[in-house]
Amino acid sequence: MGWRVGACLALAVLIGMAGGASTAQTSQKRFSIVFADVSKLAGVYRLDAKVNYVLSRLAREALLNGVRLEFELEINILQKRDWLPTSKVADLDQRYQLSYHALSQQYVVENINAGVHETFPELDEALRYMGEVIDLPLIDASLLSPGGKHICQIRARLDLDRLPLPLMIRAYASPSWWLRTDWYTLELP
Amino acid sequence: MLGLFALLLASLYLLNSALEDAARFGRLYIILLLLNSLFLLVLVVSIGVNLAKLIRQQSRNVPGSRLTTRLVIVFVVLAVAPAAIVYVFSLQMLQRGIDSWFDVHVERALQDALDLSRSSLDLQMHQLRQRAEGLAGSLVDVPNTMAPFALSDMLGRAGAVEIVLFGDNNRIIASSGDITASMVPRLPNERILRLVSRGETYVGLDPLKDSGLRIRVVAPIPVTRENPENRMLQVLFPVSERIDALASSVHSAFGRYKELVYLRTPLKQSFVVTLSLVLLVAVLFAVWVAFLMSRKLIAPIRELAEGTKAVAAGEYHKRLPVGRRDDLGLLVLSFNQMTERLAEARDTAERSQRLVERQRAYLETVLEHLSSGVISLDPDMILRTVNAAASHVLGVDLERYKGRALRELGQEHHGLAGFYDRLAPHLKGAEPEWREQLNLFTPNGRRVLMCQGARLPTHGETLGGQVIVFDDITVLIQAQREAAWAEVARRLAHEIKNPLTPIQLSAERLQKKLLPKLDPAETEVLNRSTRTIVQQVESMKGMVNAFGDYARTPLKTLLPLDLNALIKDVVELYRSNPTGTRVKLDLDRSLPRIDADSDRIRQLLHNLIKNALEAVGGVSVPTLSITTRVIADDGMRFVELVVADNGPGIPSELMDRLFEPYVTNKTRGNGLGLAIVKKIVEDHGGRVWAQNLRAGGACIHIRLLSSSVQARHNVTHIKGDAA
Repeated sequence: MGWRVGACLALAVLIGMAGGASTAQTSQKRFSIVFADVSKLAGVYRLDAKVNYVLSRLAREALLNGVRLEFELEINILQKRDWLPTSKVADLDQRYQLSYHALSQQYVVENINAGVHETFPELDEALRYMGEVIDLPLIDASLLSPGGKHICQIRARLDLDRLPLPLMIRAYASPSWWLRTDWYTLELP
Repeated sequence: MLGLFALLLASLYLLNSALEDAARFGRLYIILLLLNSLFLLVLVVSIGVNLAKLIRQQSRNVPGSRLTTRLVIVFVVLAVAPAAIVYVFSLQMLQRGIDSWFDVHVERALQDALDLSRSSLDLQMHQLRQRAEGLAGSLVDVPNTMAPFALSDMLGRAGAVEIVLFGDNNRIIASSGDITASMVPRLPNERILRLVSRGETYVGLDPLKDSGLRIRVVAPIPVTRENPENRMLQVLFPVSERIDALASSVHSAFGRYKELVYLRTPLKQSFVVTLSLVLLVAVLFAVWVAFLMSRKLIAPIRELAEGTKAVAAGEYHKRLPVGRRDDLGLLVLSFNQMTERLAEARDTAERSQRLVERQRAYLETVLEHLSSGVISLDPDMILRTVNAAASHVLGVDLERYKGRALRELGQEHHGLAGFYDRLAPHLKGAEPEWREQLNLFTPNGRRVLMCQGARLPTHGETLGGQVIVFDDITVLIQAQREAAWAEVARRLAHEIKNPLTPIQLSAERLQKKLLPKLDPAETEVLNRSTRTIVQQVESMKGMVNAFGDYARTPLKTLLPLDLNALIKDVVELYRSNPTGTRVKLDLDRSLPRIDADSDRIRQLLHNLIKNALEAVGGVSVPTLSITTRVIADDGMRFVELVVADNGPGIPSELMDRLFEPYVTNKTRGNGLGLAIVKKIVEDHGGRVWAQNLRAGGACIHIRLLSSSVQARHNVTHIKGDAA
């Protein structure tokens, strides 16, 4: 993702929109992982997590103006190795699309992976619904090397690449759009 | 460069495509933007470097830098001006074009249409709410076990697509309808449940996944004794197809328009950024190309300038590479031809110069080895050329006088003053050739020079100076004179001395024959006459012998001679002279030896002392002084002999011809004494002169060259000839 930081810097200079540094460090931590837990049930690792999504003013404004926002819950299963860097065993992207239905004045959350959608009259409800990950199957335990130390990394972010192009340029140059959690790491039981 | 240009064009094309088709090129756009920005940065740096180089070159006056600057300015103006105009107009058109998409009326109409759709749906929702509440009311007394049948009956009657009865904790009691899509009915969320649990009925629109709407009504079912559980009925009604289609269309149009309105500013910015980037890249690329082209165009001109400079510095063999076939290539070709010819001309000139130098060296060699002295003077009488013989003849190093006036030679060497004084009239005159014989007293002694001069060719209006050739004819003159005197002496001997003996013998014979025959008186006459004849004949013999001495043959071998010792020897003979003359000697002990014929010098001393003794004959206290000393003059060492008496001095009328033969005021003597002295002195390369002393008496000065012995400390320096 380093190129994105570079792109962000370059665009900030080009467009002249950035009021200051536009790095992730300076942006407010609007997204956070409240808790996450991996359990093993019937030979399958399952994830329970709660992600707290708080949209910035600009993101809310875009949403209300018909822009669909796409969120990504990145999950990586890594194996820790002695004297060697960790290796990725599997990765899983859980994607959600949040939109506002003007006619019904409802917020629609669509779980792209599951193909289900849910409507909410309030944004907070929609975000809360989106942030609740319950019993999400991650990986079959048989796929992991026995005896190995495995960890699970979780991160939630707003996918700027899915924004309409004119907005994407601005989003990359603005910290208000730089919405993501830090990597949350937990060991697999 | 063409490849780079193609790459740039491709990149800009892709950038534009990405803007048009965001879905396909979304991330690519950012990458391209970044790449182009980087390219822009590279261009800026490259142009900056080029500019700095150009400024540096201009400040150092590197050939071609000014022309490069001008070309760059012209190229930049040609590239930037139209681009800037197009940019400004494009920007304005872009702004206006995007703004023209939006209209307040359209926006309001769409909002109204949406409101209208809502109103229409609200009406339908109101009716359906009542219907659902009716259905819920009819289920009050229906036990849970009978509910499926009741719901199934209600579904078709109420025109619903799904009816679900659920109790506490979202427990589904019964359901009816098309639930194949989700297998389980979609239950209301907590907020709806809270609302319904308060006894209110919820009615709302549910947008379907792909398109279309459903009306969801959730109504509470009153609790009865038979059915004490809190039950709720959720009924999903379809929206009529017509209304659904219209509402969806309105919603879709409204959503898209609203999104467009919202994205108007970012869209403009995107276009402006893209356009600016394209323009900047294009312009900066043009500027960079301008630098490149200017340099390429100027390169042959710069080479030509450097070549010209090299030619100006004398590098006539400078050749420039001909790498072009255009006019500049032709120019370079012409330059090469020019330098080739210049080189040829230079080589020819050098050959000629070398030839001249060789001839000059040849002439110099000839001149150097000439026995005649040769000097040349410029019109201002400045010495320009001398040969070794000239220095040798005049006895001074004439090389030191090169570039100086000839007059200075006489000022520094008094003996040579006559050289300039006598030649000046000829040098200043207009005669083309002249000849002059000079008698100089050079550091080498008295010299007779035969000078011949000729005027050098004139350069323009100025006279060309003079060349003077002179020969030392001293020896020649002397030989001629000696030969002449020898001839005179021989003739005298032949014509005079030879008849004297018969005359003397005849007189003596007359005396012998006649004496016995004559009386005493006549005898006396005869004796007296005969004696007179004999005496006169003897006298004439002496005279002829003396003349013979004078004209005697040249010197014998010259050997180093201690003059003081010789003087003492000779003077010793005159210590007891009949006149009682006191002879004073003042001899310089440091006197160097002289190269001389001792016999002749002895004769010289005898003659001088005799002369002096004769001169002091009538003086009460006759005194004769002989002095020797060392004289340094013109850097040469001389031995000077001064013989002075306190006699009556030399009569002024004789002073000029004193040293000529037979010039005398004495009744006795043959008149050759001083002439012989002069001849001996001149034979030794010396100089003699006479002067009267103020206190009375005469003084003879003789100056002879010393041998090559270094001068001592007590050298007397004199200025001028007078004592």
